[in-house]
Amino acid sequence: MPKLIFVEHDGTTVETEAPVGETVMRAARAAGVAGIVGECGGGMSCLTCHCYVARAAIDRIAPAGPVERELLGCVVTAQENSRLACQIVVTAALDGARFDLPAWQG
Amino acid sequence: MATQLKQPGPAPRLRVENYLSGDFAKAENQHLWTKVWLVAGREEELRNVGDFLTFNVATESIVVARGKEGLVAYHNVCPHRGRRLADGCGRASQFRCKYHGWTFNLEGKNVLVQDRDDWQGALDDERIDLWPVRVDSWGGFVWINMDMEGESLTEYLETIPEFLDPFELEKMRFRWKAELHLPVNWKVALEAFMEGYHVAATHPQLLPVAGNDYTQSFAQGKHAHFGYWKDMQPIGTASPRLADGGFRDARAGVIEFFRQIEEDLNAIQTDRDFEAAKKIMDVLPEDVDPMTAMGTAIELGRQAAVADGTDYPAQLTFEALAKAGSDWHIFPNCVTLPYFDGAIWYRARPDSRDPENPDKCVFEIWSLKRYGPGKEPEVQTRVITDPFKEGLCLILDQDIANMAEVQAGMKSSKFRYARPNPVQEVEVINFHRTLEQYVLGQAQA
Repeated sequence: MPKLIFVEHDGTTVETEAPVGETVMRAARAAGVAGIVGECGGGMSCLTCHCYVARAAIDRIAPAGPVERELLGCVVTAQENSRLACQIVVTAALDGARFDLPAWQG
Repeated sequence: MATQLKQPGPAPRLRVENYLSGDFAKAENQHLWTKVWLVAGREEELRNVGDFLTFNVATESIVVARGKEGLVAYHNVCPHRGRRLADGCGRASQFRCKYHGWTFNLEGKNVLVQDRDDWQGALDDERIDLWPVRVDSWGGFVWINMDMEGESLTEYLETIPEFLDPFELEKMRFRWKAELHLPVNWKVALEAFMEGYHVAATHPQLLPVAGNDYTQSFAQGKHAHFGYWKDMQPIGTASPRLADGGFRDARAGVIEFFRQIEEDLNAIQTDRDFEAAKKIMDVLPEDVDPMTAMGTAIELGRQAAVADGTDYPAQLTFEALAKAGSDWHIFPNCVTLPYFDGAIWYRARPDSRDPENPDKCVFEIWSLKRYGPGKEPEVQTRVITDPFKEGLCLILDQDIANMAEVQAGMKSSKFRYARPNPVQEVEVINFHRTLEQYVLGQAQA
C-alpha cells in the first residue's frame, strides 16, 4: 500500500499506509492525524481537511476542480499548494507523498 | 463642574411600565436594540483573521469576525432556511450552515449552495449572501449597529471619547469575566451601578475609607456620568456621614481602601495597586496628610505598573480623572468605572432565550486591567445561573441582592412610579428619557 506522510503544524510526523482508492482525508483520520478534522465527512463543504501538498507530490495528484478551488479561496490559511484532503484519492503514484497541515482548520 | 442649581418643578418620575411591561420589552426589541450601537465584545477576542464571536441581543443574533480587511459583522442566520450559522466563539475561514451546508466566506458572500443546479439559475437573482451589520471599534470594544443608516459610532458616542480616551481602555485586557442570569429587568440590573446614592445604605463598610460618598451626576447627551466633585475628599478618609473621623493614620485608611476594593470587588483598582499602596507605610510618616497618602499610593501604583512592563495612561492626568468622574452610563446597556490601572465594565441585555420577558436578563461584569506584554491571563467566563446562591464578592453581592427585591417590589399595587434623586441619580433619569425617545417615540410615529 502507498505510504503517506503527514506533518502536523507542531512538527509531529505521522506515517501511514493507505489503500488505493481511499481518500487522503480518511487515511489521515484513520491514522489519528489531529490536524485533519473532516467534519463534513468528505462532502467538500466544511473545509476542515485543508492541507498543503509538498511540491514533490503535486504533479502526482489530479488538480482541484472549480468548486474546490472556489472554496479554498475563502480559507484564511490557504497557500498556492493548498488542497482539501477529502478530494485527493490515494493512488500508487502517491507513495511517499508528504502533506503539511495548517495551524488550524475551519 | 457646573454648579448644581436648585431643581425647579416637580420631582422626577420613572414609569414603572418601563421595567415590568411585556409590551414595553417587545417595543424595546423592535425600536431600541436594532437601532443603536452596542458592545458586541472586545477586540482582544478577535485578534487573528478568522476569529469570530456571536452576540445575541433580544431576538437578534450577530456574528462578528476578523476578516482579511478588518472587522466584519453579519446577521447570524442562514438565508436558506433560517438556521443560526455560528455558535459561541472560535476561529473559522467560513460560516457553514450545519443544516444543509450552505457556506459563506468571511466577506459574507455565499460560496456554496449544495445542488445549486436544482434552482436552474434562479438563485442568481436571489439574495443569498449574509446580511451585513455595521461594525466599528472604540476603547478596545467591538461595537455593532444593525441599522445600516444613521449616525456613525463616533457621532453616537458624543462626548464619551473626550472624557474617556485618556483612560486607554483599549490597552486593558480581561482580568476576569462573569455572566449572571438574573430574574430582573435588564435596566434594574444596570441601574444598580448608575448612581453613587446607594453606597451609604448598600455598602456601609466603605464609608470609613472611601472619602465623601456624596455624588453629583450629569447628562452627556444620551449618556451620563456621576462623580465625587462636591466637597471631594481623598480616598482613605471617612464619609462626613460618620461621626468619627475614620482612621487616625491616613496611611492605614488608604491601605484599607485598596484592601476592600481588591478583596470585595476585585476590579477598578488592581492587585498591583494594592501591593504598591502598602508601601506607603515605609515611605511616609505616621502623621502624613490624607492627600499626600493617597497621591503617594497612586504614584507607587504607577511605578509598579512600569516595573511590570506597562505604565499608567500618559494622558490620564489628575485633571482628566476628575473631569471624567467615577462612573459612566453608555446608552443603552453599558456602564463603566475606569481608573488608572483597571476598569470595570457592565453590560446588560434581555435574556435572548426569553427575549420578551421583562423579568429576565443576562448581566455581564468585566474586570479589565493593564498588563505587561505577554502577561495577560487566559480568561474563561464564569457563568452564574443563581447569583443569590453563588456569590461573586462582597460589594457585587450587595448590589445584586437589591436587584431581585427591586423587581419584586415594583410590582406592588401602590408603586406606580419611581422617584429618583434629581442630583445624584441623573444617569438613571437621563437613561429613561433617552430610552422613551427610542421606544415610545418611534412606536407612536
